[in-house]
Amino acid sequence: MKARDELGNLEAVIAHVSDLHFCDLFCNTEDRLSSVIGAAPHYYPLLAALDACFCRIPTQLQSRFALETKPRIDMVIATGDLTTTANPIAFEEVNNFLRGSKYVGVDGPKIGLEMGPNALVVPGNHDTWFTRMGWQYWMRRIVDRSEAYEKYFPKCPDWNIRQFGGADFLFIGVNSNKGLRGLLNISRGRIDEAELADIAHRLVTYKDSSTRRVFTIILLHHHPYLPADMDEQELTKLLNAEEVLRALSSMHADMVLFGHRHESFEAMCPPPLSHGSSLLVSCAGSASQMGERKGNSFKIYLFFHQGIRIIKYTFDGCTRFNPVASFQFDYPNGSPFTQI
Amino acid sequence: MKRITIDDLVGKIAMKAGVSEDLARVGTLCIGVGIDHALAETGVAGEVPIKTTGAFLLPNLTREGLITMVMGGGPFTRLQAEQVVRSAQRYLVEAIKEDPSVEVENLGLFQVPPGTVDIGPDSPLLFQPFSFHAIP
Repeated sequence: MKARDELGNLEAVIAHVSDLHFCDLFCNTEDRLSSVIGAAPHYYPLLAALDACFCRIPTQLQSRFALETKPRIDMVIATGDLTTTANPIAFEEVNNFLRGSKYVGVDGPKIGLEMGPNALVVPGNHDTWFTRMGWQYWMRRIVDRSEAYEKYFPKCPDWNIRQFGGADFLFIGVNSNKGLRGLLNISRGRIDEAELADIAHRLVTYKDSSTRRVFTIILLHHHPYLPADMDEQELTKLLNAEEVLRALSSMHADMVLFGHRHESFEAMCPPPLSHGSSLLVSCAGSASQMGERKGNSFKIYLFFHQGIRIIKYTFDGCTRFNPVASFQFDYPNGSPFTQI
Repeated sequence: MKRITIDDLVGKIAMKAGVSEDLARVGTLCIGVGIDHALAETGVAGEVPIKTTGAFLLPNLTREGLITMVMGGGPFTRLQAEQVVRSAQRYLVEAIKEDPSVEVENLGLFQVPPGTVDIGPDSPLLFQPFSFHAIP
């Protein structure tokens, strides 16, 4: 598709949603639920508004960037906390919402993103905590929630390759819930050193065998980085954040997408964390959790030939998700569509 | 032109449907989201014909759909959800009878087509949704 943007042709459109918090168990009981488990469920009208927005995005993009044809959303990425209580029914519903045919409401509006295999997900702490909390570890033999997750979604690390505009886009889903053992670090995460080393090894092997430019996007749930102007929340940030960022930079990953922090932000990871490389980090915020005080949001990434635009959508509190901000980043490591 | 705000609708729905103001606000927002979703699904961005009996209803949005949307958005009983939808529709029709052009906050403009003399129970209306935001 041709575009008249200063960044060249639009090659791929990727949506990033996070912290959907599907939860039928406690739906519409926000106050009670919050006091019991500290997290609210999804809000049905927000899902409808999200679906409506996805319907309009191709038209908005065509208009904004003067495209000859309407683009489509190539991928949807959901970075964890798909559910609030890892309930098997919630996993089924979120899978239907992201991938299946439109489903919500038997006689009502049919809601869903219908992305099929083009929806990639990673687990969040809420998708695993019933099996990971120390005081409930004994329950694993009775109810293993990871089985409920893996009934619909692949186990991590999850490697997916897509080709856009002459480049290989490599999406690596990482489980950042490792190492959760105690109640106090329930909302923190960790990525095993062994897993990082394995990813680095496989990535080098893959890049060596590919004749195309490989643009690497890491998906995880816990935020490994916060901009300086945001409150540092040591109780929620990835436990080994610095180690993870250095490792990802060393293997020349290009982007890290995550959620957990229900607040949208994006930044170029600064040295020394970026380890001399360039790493774009981006948090989507929560798309559909009820009563989110910081506002509900999601993002669209536009991969142009010579750069990337990030468009932030926020819910207006009434009926719609609206595009409210747009950020442009040149490819510090060179265009993903040009072999370097 | 008459303007109806979200607060106007919330107050009227709370009174007529016999629900709290908080619940009426949730119901009002659900109606708004339901309509906007129906518009987006069908790609409607311009004027669309409806009828007074189907106020708030679009070609691909049934009364049952709106009721489902309201019930999905809050702790409503089936009866309460029906009353919320009915109260909102009646309020709009009353407003249309007073003024042939009614703008509903965050939603759009309802108009009686030119040449219409009397507004009956099954009169045609035109609905023009507010345009969506452009990408900055």
